[in-house]
Amino acid sequence: MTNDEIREEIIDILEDIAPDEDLGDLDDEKSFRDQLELDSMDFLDIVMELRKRHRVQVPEEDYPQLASMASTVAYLEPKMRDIVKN
Amino acid sequence: MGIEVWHAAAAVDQGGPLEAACQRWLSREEQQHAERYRKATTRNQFIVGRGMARRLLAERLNCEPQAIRFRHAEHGKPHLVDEAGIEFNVAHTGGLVAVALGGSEPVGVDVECLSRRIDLGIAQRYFSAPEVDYLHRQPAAQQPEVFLRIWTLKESFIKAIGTGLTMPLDRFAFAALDSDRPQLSFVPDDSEQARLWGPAGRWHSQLLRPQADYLIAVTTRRADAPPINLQPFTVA
Repeated sequence: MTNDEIREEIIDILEDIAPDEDLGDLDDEKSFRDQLELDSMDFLDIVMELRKRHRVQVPEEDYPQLASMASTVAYLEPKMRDIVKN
Repeated sequence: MGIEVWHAAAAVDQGGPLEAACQRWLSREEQQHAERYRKATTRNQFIVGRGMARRLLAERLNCEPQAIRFRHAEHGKPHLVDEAGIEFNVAHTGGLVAVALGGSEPVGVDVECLSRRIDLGIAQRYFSAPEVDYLHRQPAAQQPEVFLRIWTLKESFIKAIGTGLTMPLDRFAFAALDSDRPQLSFVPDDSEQARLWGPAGRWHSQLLRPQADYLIAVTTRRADAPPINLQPFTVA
């Protein structure tokens, strides 16, 4: 997956978890939790979806790297670059 | 001194007198921060949480709410800049905000709505083995509420210690889960986390029901279990 495809995938997961949110003008540099109504349980839902959909494992010590869209894409790029988008 | 737990309902759309009062108590940075939230419900929760904390801390410190200054620890937990022997913590969920105020020892609070959508797979994947066993022994219809009891307790502990989810949720467990004062233990009891945060017996937790549909858990560290006082927050 390219960085753009990884971003699309994260948006798709966020739309499932926070269906009421308008994600169109999400600021990629700012933290998700400063913009969206996402709590810790929602965060674990995102991590579980990444595992279910793409078998991507995110260990607890790496959670801070998933704070914003930009940092999430940068973190996931090496783990997802060889995955072919459906 | 006991732990005070204050709660207030934040508006889901247009803010009312509570939101207006709380907004006046915020710093300019906090007011700008509030504007970043696109949904009114999230914005109101932030304003009420920070406003309540400022007002309650100001009463303890005998100063104006705007004079309170916060610093944020590594994982984002707010503390007072000036060490005043007061620890506090803020939690919010759709519609309800809670603020816990304690003494100099760490305190954490979490609030959840009992009707929130949950995935019991989170328990299987993240909770400790004794908690998963306990959850599975409950009748299916009661499992969502039991899940939320365990979740709020676990959140209140990781918020007390200020680690966020970097503290693995399966490395500590709550027992006596059918009581209002479940007891923490570390799993295993000689883990790195146990050495860092133990002994488990010094941590005290309590579950509270501020309203029929909401659950609050508060956790603090003390030699003995402190009295915990739940009360509604109002503005004149």
